[in-house]
Amino acid sequence: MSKPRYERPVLIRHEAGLMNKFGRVQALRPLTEIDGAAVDELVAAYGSPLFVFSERTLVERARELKEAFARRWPRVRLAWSYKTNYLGGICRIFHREGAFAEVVSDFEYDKALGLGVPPDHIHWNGPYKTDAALTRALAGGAIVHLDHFDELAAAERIAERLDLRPSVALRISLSVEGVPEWSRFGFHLESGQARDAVARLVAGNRLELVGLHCHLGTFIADVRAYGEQARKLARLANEIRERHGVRLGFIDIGGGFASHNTLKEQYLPGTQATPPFSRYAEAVIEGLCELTCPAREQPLLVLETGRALVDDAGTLIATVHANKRLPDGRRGVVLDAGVNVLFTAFWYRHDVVPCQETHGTPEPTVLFGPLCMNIDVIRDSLLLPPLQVGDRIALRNCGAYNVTQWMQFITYRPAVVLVGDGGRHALLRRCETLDDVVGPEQTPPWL
Amino acid sequence: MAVDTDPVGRPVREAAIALLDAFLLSYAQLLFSRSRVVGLLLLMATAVAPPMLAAGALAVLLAMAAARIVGLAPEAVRSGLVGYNALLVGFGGFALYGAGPDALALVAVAVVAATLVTAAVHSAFGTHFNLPALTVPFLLVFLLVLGAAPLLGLPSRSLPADPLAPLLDLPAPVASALEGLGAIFFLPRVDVGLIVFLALVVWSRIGALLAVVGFAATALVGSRTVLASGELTRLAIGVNGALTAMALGGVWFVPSPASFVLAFAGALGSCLVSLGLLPLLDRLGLPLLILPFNLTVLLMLHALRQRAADRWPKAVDFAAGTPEENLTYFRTRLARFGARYLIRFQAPFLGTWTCTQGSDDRPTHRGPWRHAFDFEVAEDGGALFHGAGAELTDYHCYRLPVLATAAGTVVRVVDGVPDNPVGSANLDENWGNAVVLWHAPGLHSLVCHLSPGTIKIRPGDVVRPGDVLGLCGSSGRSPRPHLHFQLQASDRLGAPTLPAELRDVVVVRGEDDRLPGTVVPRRDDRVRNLQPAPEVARLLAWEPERTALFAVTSGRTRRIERITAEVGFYGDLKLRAEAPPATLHYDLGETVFTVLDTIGAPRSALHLLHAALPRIPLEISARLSWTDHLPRRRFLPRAARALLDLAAPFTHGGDVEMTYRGAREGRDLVVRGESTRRLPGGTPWLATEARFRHGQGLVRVEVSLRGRRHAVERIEETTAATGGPTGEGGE
Repeated sequence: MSKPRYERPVLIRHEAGLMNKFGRVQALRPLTEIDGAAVDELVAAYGSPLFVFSERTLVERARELKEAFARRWPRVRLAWSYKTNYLGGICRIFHREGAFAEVVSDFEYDKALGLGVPPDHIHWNGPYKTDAALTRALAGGAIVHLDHFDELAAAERIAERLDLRPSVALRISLSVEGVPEWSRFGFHLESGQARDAVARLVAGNRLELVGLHCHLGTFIADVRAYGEQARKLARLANEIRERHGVRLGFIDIGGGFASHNTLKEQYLPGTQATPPFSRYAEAVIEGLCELTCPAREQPLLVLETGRALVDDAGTLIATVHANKRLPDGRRGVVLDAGVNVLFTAFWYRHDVVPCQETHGTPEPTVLFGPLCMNIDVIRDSLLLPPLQVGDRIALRNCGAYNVTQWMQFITYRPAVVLVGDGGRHALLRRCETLDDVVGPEQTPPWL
Repeated sequence: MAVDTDPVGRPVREAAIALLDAFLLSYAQLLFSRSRVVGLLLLMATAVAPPMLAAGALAVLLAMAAARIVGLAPEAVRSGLVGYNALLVGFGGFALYGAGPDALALVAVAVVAATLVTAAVHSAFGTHFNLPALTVPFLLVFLLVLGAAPLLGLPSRSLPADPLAPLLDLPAPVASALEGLGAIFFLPRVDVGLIVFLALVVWSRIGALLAVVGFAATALVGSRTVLASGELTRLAIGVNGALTAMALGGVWFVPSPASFVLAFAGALGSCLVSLGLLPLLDRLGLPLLILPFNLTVLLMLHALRQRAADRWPKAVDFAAGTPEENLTYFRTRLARFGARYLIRFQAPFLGTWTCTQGSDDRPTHRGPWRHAFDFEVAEDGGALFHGAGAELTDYHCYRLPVLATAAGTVVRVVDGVPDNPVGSANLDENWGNAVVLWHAPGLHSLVCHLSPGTIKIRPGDVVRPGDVLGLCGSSGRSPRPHLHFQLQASDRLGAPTLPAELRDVVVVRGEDDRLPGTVVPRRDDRVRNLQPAPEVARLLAWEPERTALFAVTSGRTRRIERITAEVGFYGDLKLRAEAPPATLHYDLGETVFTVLDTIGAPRSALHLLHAALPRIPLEISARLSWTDHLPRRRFLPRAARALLDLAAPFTHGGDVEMTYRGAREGRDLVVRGESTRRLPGGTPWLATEARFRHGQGLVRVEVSLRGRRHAVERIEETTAATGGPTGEGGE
């Protein structure tokens, strides 16, 4: 029989207005395994901290999204947003599910080609495409989304030089109530710039306009915004058809659907506040119903959803390095993972779950990272039961942006593993070593 | 490169080939065949008596000349359909009246007359009764010859007795059967009959077996009859029976045990006709000829077309080929496309739905309404709703679009029935809000339980497959939101259902998406429509009238074939190869590319193309596989095929079941197929790979048949190629 665990005594102040002094405590069920792979086994094999991705969740989310739209619109395409997570293994899963690639740079384009994605299955977005990049994209047959007039002119020059008539789309920015306007990207609709761009493109007669693209913003949980966006794009498509006789091949509504994460300023947790994909789909399709073209000629609907697909699938396992008591009475926990690997901690209240049975009364806790920087705070306040040194916690819903925006700063970046069917697991990316960091360095000859 | 570069020689050679065809096929048609080899064998059979050879040949040439002068359709002349009656008239006239000047003049007139009568009868029978002319024109004309000859002072000769039969000591039934076959050419000799039987075997093993059945049936009767008019009549009865058995058992009906029963019955029937007519004919002094065959076959054909259900035996659906071809085509088509309707019905929804009540299923799809299907949307785990499932909006399928399954006209719309709260059903308005579409006479489709106020179409609207009819609801007898779909004969709500098969519908099972030929959804099947990608359609489209050169490699031989894409008069699409001649018929719809069939020289590269791409959904994803059936007969060596042919009518199968998958490889689309059947080593009996390239279309086909590799590779079009467009630009 093992020795009972020691429970540290705590004093908890009674707060008025709550049903009792334990009122806000949730029962925490420990996360001991991910899709059948034991957390302890994963950490033993790959070290801590560790990013773990669930293949099953990725596939389920991708299919849920695809089906939610495909049950309402005859032709739907998912273009996987590389910047959200461009680990090769993750991209492969989405491509296996039939997704195209959505890239915003030379590097991402190369990455997609390297994964075997044909150029005509790549949407190339973004405000910055060098002439060389644009030439590669247009010559290769990628679907280029033009962002501004200079780019339009450059594309025409290149098309003329290559003697091609490439297919391009226009990025449109538009204003939708309740969503901060991202007017710096694309041709603005309400100011008339978008119409000018279409007229200019058609008159130039060098490029084939095949699509309209608009990306509203990020983490938008109000589905009505997408309805409004789709309606405006549909009306613009109708206008283009009437005025220029151009039949558009696709309407790309971008991404920005909310994942099940919780923003810091959000009141309800993401699990309750985030609408299911079907609600987004309903709103978008209702907007698209404004299209006046015959049913046969209805454009393809392109989705560039990134965050909402991959966020839920990623978990960061971190280990408790030390406990300390802060002067304000809160408990501080030092983890081995900080904001350098969990960049999204700046704006999310990531869900935190212990990976083993916990005992004792939860109390307000601050989670710190390992950096010697004051900003290295993973959660600034949450109720957690006492944790022992060496205990593990899981930070949920961190699959989006972290493994692309993480920094090599002070520590090495940790390993990333994928858990597949039946708990089998393998590396997506190994932990960095000194060579990875110093490899690109050069020593000036006089030193 | 050995490309034909002689633009002058080609038309001349083509004309020569057309003449040769017209000549030889006139012989072949006497055995229902369109093969030059069969024609040549029959020509050789008549060469046993050189004067008869000359008479027949002259008659055919005269008929061809007459047809040319009159201006009959060249295709009909080339197919031998104009010449075979004249040929019989020529044989008969010479055999009975010799080669005197008067006789020759009479026969020549009769031959020309037979040519014209053939054209007339062919058209009249075909147009009014959809029946073949058979040898009715010969009978009509020869009757006149028989009547006119005595008046012209031409005595009739009797046919010379067989010089061989007494020497050979053959069993009597065999000898009389062989003599009977010879008697078709007015040469009742064992040696002629033997060559004719050989031609019969070359034409069709099933046909030869049917002839034996026919002879046997007549022998049963013949042995019990006393004939006044001598041995020749006995032969005629036998050969009429044999021809009847062949025509009914294999040419106009798909060979099967039932068709053999019909053949046997038909032969007995022709016996009855013979015996019944004989007293009358004897009194008139007329021979039996092949009158019983014509009467029996025409009457039986017409009678059997009056059946309510076309089966046991199944009639052939169009221009008859050899019995083997009829059988192969019928079986393959049944396996590929099902038996029900020519109209393709898709699934009535977008995305993946689950069948929650299939055909002949509890609780309500019973009795007259058994061929109906309920669909709902289920999550991966099987849940039909989220939350508590107490509200309509909890259900995944609620207010999803409901589509037209095929092109049609809206004939009935019911709207305004409210959606029921979950758990209750409106038994007064059973069908709830419904749309009935008319697709073809006697064929309607019904979707019902739609949500009120969502039906945006009106009676009279023309819809295309995939058009939105309304949104899924829970009106009528519907305790929870679902979609009910059925086919029915009338436009009435609640009409009895008809069997339904869905086409181009994918069955989703776990990680596998399968596209069978047809789908009859059963409970718990998850199904979806194909999601076609225009890029795939572009890869598969052949530019009409464009010729491409293909290098065909089989083992160590290599040759060049020219393949031209053509659009037929009726808008039918085909690929045509010139040498060896063959045609691949295909269809490129909005969801699937389908090879309908390939007809022509077995050596042609088109058969390899057919094997590699019998059907390609215009949706290519790694998860999607599809099955198809190829006629196995076409891939067998000659000897094995001949043996198999004999057994084919009495066995099942005869198809190669293939599974295909498509994948993008860089800029290429690659479709790979494997037969379910394996060689002893485990490698597939038949494996295929077809490669399409962006901007070029099909570039390579590789077929590995029983371990032997064949390749068809597109080679650059040369400007030296005659006829075709001179490849300007390209992509």
